[in-house]
Amino acid sequence: MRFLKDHRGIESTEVALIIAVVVLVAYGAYRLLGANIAAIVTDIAGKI
Amino acid sequence: MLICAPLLIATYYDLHFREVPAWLTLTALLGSGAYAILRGFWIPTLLTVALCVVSEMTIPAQRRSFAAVLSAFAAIFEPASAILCLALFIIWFLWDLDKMGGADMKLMAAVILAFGSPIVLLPITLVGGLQGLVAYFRKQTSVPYVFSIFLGTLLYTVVPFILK
Repeated sequence: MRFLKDHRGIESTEVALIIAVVVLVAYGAYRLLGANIAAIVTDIAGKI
Repeated sequence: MLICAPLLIATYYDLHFREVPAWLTLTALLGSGAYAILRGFWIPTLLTVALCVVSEMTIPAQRRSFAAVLSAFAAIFEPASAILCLALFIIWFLWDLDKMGGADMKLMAAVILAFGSPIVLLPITLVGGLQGLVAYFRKQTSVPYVFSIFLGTLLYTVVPFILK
């Protein structure tokens, strides 16, 4: 299986930097809007 | 804390061979999955299994959209794990785009499942960002990311004890 056979432990330098920035921004946004996002997701789950 | 042991061994393999043996990543993933189920996080664990199966689909666009739909359904089914499912999907997606190694992806999924919180990704990615920055100035094109996963997880585990 492709998922199980890939043993590579490398990542491109640019991706490592981009991920760090994106996660920092996402964490900041989550701290600001976390409660609202949780309410929206719960609302959608309730409607389904 | 137990997850740090396989991560330390994986770091050794990654620094020396740029590859991590399958038995090590799978042991970490299976152990974390079992622990997550015991703690009630069975939806993210099932999503990880589903993403493993979806990886076998041959058409990339079909595979990625199917994985996105599965992750969305998992998040809606258990809103408390929505962020966890999103994190698992993003990691899988980066691997599927060939931007992340398979060992990195499996170990990061294992760490997320073991802690039951995607906040652990914050120290991991920050250490990874620093490592990327150093590698960029040293004109290297790739970084052994398992080291960041290990150090980030260790910081996440140890720092709260030190601050007490």
